[in-house]
Amino acid sequence: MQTLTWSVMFWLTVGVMIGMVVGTLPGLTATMGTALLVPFTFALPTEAGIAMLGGLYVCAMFSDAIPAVLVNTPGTPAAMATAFDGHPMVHKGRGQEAIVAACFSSAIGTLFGAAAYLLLAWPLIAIALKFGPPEFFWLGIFALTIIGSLAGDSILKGLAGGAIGLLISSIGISHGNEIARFTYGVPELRGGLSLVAGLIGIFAIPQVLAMIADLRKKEFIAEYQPVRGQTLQTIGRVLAHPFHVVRSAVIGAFIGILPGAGSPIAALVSYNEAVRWAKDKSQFGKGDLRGVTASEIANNAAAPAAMIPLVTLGVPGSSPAAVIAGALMLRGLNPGPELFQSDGSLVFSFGWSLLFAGIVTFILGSLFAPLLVKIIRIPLRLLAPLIMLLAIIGAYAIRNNIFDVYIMLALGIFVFLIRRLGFHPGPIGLGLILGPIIEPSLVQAMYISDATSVWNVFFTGTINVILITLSVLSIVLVVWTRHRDRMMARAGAASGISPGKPDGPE
Amino acid sequence: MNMKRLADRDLLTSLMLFGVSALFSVGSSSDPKDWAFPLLANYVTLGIAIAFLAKFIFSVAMKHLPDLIQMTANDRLSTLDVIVFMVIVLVYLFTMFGLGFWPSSLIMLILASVYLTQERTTRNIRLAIIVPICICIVAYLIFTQVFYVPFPEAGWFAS
Repeated sequence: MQTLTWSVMFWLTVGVMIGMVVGTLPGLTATMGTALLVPFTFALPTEAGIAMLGGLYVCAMFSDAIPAVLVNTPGTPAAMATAFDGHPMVHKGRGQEAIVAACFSSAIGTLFGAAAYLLLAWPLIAIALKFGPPEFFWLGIFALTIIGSLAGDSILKGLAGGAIGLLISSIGISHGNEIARFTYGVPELRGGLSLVAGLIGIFAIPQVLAMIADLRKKEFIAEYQPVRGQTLQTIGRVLAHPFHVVRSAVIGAFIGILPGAGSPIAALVSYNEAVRWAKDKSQFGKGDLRGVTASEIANNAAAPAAMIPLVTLGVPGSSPAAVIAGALMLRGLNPGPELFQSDGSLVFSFGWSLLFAGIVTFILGSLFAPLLVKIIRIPLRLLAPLIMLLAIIGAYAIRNNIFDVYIMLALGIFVFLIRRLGFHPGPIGLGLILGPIIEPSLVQAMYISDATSVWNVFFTGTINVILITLSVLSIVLVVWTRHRDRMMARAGAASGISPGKPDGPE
Repeated sequence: MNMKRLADRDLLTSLMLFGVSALFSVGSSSDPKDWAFPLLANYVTLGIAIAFLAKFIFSVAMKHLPDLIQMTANDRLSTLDVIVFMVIVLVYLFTMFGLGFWPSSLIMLILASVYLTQERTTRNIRLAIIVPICICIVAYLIFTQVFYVPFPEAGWFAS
């Protein structure tokens, strides 16, 4: 096996370490990291160069959880769902546990995704090819039902937040006849909002402003005492839910294969399913370890799985996969069935390197976890301006456009203010992420329906029916759970017991 | 109606949602496919705004206790901190095109850190100056030397 050479392992580890930095810093995405690394890989043999890119990609999918957990600022869109429970865990003094859990879950996800890549590439791609625009539309709608878990006290405010996110995502050129929408004569808005800048605005800026508002009440984000043996204990807690682990990995690997869906959708759907299947849902959004593991296992399983359409069909399943495709092409290798036949060893060597990247990520992440968690002991008076600077750099660096910074700040101030009205940033971020998936699929499906009928396109076909059923079940479950909690709260109040009401992410 | 009712959470939520809905009011096109998606999202926003307004009117009519947004003396001080910090950030966004990105970032970080330091001991002030310098050096090396991000350069002294 060529992957096991020391040279390949060394460059893989270098890629993983760069990925750690890329994922941790808001605004630096795995796509940007892999794109910047491509020129450096030319000096290396093909296996080592591609392994280095794969290592960066895999590790960035883990390390984006670090700012999400510690300061409630997702490093990339894929880590948004990790913040829902990861950050509340920090407030409960369980920061180290959250980071180790994210790290171990990432490793499990990567191993599962890489195993799917190595063993099941062709059968999985056959199912993925059945996904057309209507299926993607329903997948997006299904992912939207997660609002029920994120809405907090008021489901209406959660829905309104989701709708606001969807509206913001529709700014720019329309997908139908390419007309400008909601641009108000501002040329910069024609290109739409940068997703990363928007998410930084929605999550990081309100967090910074909240830190400043809390400055007179507390000095740090939370107390933290390093716990010896935390890594093994956390691994035990993660593995105590084997069905949850396998379900999250399967969801991540399958959604990763679908071109255009990617890690953020995988993490959100997996989180939604974790809430739906859990017997005790009361701790989700308040620091439930399963919330962190569901998101991290899925988004990391999606990363290697996104390579499956690349090596089988020549279609990249994600943006970093597209960059890796470019790196292969620059070396004269054409990704697709041809590559399987002409350079089969390279295809499998890459799969093995992704698998080892998961292991290296776990080792490095576990070693650095106690050190990383110390971020929460930095005084807020120093941390808040630092996060603001990183947020500004992150929003700017995506497109080298200062307008993205203005949008980020405007969104951040808006979300900070509406938090006082009882809105949570989660549904708004969800709308912003899902809008670019749902709308193009809806428009394409509507064009297809012009030739047949809306019923045929949207409501027939096995996958459509399954996704519609799951969406309806998810909504019914949310309504039923909230009704039951309200009844229990009333009964508790009548009998003098403190009522427990549903709550959203802190 | 008591003027305090104007700070009712349901009323403010409703007004905010009406504002968002107005901001995203749909334009016209020969093809409805261009507007179907934002139209649906806007109807949801508008419907919820109406629901909150109805809830507010109902609670006034039934003389229910209002859910008012409270502001204590401490909250006022915190709000002042937030406003001053945002002013520093806005001035920074303006000066970065004159002084250059990194010098203005350093000034912003030092000013904000010093302002936010409640106990102004010599040690804390020193920290509020040294930490931003270290952060700027590390960020400069990572973003400029490793990731080649082209930040705004100094325009005021260009000539």
